[in-house]
Amino acid sequence: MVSLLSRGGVGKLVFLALIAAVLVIIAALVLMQAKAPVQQPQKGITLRVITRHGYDILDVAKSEFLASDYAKKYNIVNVEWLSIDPGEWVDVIKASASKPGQEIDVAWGGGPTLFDLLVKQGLLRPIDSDLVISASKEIPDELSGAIMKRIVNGKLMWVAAAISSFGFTANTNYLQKAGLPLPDKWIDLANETFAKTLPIPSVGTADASVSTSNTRMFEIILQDYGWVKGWQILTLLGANARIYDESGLVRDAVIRGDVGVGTTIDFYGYTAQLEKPEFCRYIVPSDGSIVNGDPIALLSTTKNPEAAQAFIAWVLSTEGQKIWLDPRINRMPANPKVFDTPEGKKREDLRVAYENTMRVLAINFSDEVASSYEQSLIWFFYSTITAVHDKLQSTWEKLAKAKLNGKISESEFLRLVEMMTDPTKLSFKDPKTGKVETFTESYAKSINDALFSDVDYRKALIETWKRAASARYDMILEELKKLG
Amino acid sequence: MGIREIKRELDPLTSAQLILPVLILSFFLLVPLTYMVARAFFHRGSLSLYYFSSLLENPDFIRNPPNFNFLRVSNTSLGTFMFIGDIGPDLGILPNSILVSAFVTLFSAVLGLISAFIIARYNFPGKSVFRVLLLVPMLATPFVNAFVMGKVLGTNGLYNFIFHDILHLLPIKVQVSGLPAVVLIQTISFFPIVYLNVMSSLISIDPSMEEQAESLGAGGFRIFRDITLPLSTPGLAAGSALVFIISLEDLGAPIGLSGAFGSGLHQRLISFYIYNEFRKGLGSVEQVHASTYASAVIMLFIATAVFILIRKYVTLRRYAMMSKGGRFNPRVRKLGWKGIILAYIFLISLILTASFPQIGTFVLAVTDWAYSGSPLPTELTSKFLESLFERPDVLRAITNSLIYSSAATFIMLLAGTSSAYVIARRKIPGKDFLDSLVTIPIAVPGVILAVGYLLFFSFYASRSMLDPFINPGLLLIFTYTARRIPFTTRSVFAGLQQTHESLEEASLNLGAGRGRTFVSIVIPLISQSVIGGSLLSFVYSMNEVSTSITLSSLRPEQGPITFYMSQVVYSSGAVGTVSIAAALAVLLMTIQLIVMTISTKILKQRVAFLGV
Repeated sequence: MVSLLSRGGVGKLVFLALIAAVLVIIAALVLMQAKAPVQQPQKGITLRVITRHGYDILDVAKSEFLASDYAKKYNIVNVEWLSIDPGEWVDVIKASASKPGQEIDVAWGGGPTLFDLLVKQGLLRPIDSDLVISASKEIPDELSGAIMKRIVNGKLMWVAAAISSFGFTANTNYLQKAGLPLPDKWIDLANETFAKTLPIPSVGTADASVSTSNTRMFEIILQDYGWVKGWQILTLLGANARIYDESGLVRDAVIRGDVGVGTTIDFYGYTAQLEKPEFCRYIVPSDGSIVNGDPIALLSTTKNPEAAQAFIAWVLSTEGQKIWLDPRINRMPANPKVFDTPEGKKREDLRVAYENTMRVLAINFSDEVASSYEQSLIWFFYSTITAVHDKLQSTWEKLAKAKLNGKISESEFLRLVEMMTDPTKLSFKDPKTGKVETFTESYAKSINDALFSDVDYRKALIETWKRAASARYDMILEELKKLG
Repeated sequence: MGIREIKRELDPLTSAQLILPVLILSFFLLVPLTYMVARAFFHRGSLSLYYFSSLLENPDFIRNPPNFNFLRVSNTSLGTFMFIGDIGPDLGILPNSILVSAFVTLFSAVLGLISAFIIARYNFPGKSVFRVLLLVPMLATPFVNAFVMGKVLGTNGLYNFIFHDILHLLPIKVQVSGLPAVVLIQTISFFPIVYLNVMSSLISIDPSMEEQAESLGAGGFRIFRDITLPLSTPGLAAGSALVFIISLEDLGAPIGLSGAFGSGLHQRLISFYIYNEFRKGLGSVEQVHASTYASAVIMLFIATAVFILIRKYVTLRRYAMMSKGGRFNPRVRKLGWKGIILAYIFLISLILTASFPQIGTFVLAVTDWAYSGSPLPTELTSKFLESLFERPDVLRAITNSLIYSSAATFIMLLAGTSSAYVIARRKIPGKDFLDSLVTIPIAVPGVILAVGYLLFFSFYASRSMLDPFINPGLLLIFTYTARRIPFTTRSVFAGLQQTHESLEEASLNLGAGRGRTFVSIVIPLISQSVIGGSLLSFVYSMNEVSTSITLSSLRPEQGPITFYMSQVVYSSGAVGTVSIAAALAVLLMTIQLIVMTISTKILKQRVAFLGV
């Protein structure tokens, strides 16, 4: 570059020419409202799938599907994966609609919350092909209250393609070193025993606002133990924990030995246990779990509804379900018939895990109840636990250690725990109505929709909750001081 | 200033030099950015500063009273620990950001200055190796950072294992988190920016200045304080301004620390706040509260203010040297054995500390460290590196990265050199605005620009070449150009400050036109700065994450290596995916080092510069 430029006389011309060239290129690009480069007239159909699944699953799925009879029959020659951040799904799907050749056909993976949002936004098209309808018959409508198919006005909007249960992954080395017991129930994670190591937290969890899997776990706890006791467990679990920004980070922290136990989705735990049986253990909580259906759906933007539904049908078929059995993936299939195939017979461990999971689905879970206050749960958890975590944790550390060291009596401890965690005793002023409220279950339901649709209201309520919670934790410290 | 004078200043060359950067930055920075942050100025449909005032009143944003308590010792069932930064300091998100950036700038300036001085002024065995190694800390290890930080800085991490368990240098174990940890991580990754800029300045100093001081009886330190340091101010100022701004916007440190320690005070920074608000919105950008954009505007305002302050200070004096470009031998002295030992101790400990993320990434890639269950790895393995060769898309991703970054660097070279020259030499109105425009882009939050690109170009450039659904790769070239151009412009501007204008006037007097003067006189005189700046621009383009991920996800086959890494890290539940990402990061770092080495080797024949 330098030598080129400094070669004297031609330099000026060269430089000006370069600038001109760049300008011309930019101008051309800016002004060129030319239509998209004409797609090569393909002999077959290319499906576009928006997804939250990892590249390892997608790689396997693509090659298996394209080799299948489904692909051949519907002349599908390619599948393009769009791994879009959940924060951009709605925007991207809508934008794709106006671009011929870029329309997205199918949505796959990302949890029921995201798919229900797509239903609400009118971005899903009812599934009507006989192929899918008959394939989905092999999948139960619901498992212990958690729905596996979303049906709106008698029309099938999404079907679960895989299922997952929730529990915790433990690092037994860590627990032993810290002198902590192996937890068995959700409520164990909220016990003051786990505060022994504070300020180094021994529990790992992820914030409800960034992890839909953890949100599901918190919903289980609330329905399992009821509103007041449930929030007590959630608050103390949060107080015992490091709160990560992503469920994957919780698993990493357990494997690294930064925490003794972390709340995880089942396949994270099974994989860790499979690879590191010496110190990793996955535990299905004995006080109850549920399964989540991880959906697949047809998008309203599709221009190839038949081909798109052929793909959905393949994913639900015993052939397609085999991808979950890969030893790197270890996910529970939505269609249990896959265990009867030769490939399924090789994964006896996963079948046992599947049956175990079905056995502990003891709690009477209602999907309807869960979604009736889901937004409230997410933002109340964020405001009173994650956003004020330093204060919550240091307050709890003092309270728990006072109890553990015998400085306060059991009854004093329980009184202060109730004061610190009971959501129905936390009063605050609702920014919209100006009325003084407490966070009861019915209040949570009443504001649930507004929390999603009115971003200003949500922000104001978060600030209000944060301040109220922070003041409450200060009050506990005062009480503790009084008790000496 | 009259119209006639402006007309005289705006000769064809100057006009071209002005139009190029302004056009690129307007279209690929200002427009998509404004498209997003305009929301900060509207409340319930009307123009209002509501979101700004609500932010400033928010106790999270400015904490009252501030908490300066940054140290505590605590007994736990895992042993006695000293905690630094976990319960404070915390002054609120806004002052925290300013404070962290100020400290990072200060520490980076000191480290960068000392290392540049040692390398530029002394000869010792292994010097050329250190030149390369000092650049290693700025190579990014995105997505792997968090895991390495946890493995090294965690309570049962390598740091405590070595210094407490093995060497017994620490009486109790230490955990550094919160803002002190952010300052630490950012300092070690950003000081090379100062180092490179000061190097360019130091090499350009006319040795006769120092010789005169010496013959007048000044000793070593006095010469440094009164001659060398002041004359290298342009490079120091350029480097420091860049570090301050990049630290303000940096997400690597807070995200890495959040991965290692969970939520904590290391998240209480404007950059993280903006990023997190975007992450919490589900489905659509409509879910992001308008105050998020207001905080981005505040961040840009701070960056601009600090930059203008630094520039005001620098332009108070003149640093231009008539003899620049003369065939002089820089003053390089041979170090005695005591000096060699001191230089070695300083450089080796600096490089080892500062490169721990890169070293850790390498170890993750070639051992079972990720899942060994202990502070040390237990076995070597090549399976992660091998897994890269099994996949053709790795090669494609690397090629994409190289194409985008090289193309962007070429445009930055033209546009950046042009704008710096116009700012330094021409007297035209609005020059200060142009100067800020080519400096501030690194303070623009990546996530806002990424979503801005996605929404703006997919709607207003729909079905054209610039539609991100069709050509995200092309957009990435321009976003890299717009976001990384400051490294080139600031560096070139510093070079021009050291070059006396009368050298150009002589050329004009002798009948050369402006174009010829620019190409034959100016460019060779500032070539060191041009190369140094381009090098930084290139490296930081290869490292770019936020727009790369957002745009490439629409067309994965056009994705650069950082996009590919994100796909690997967020994949299934398999244990060891972080090691595959680490193997990719090792590949990325190797390629950056190769490119840096080759480019400087080629250019070395012309300018005795970095000489990697």
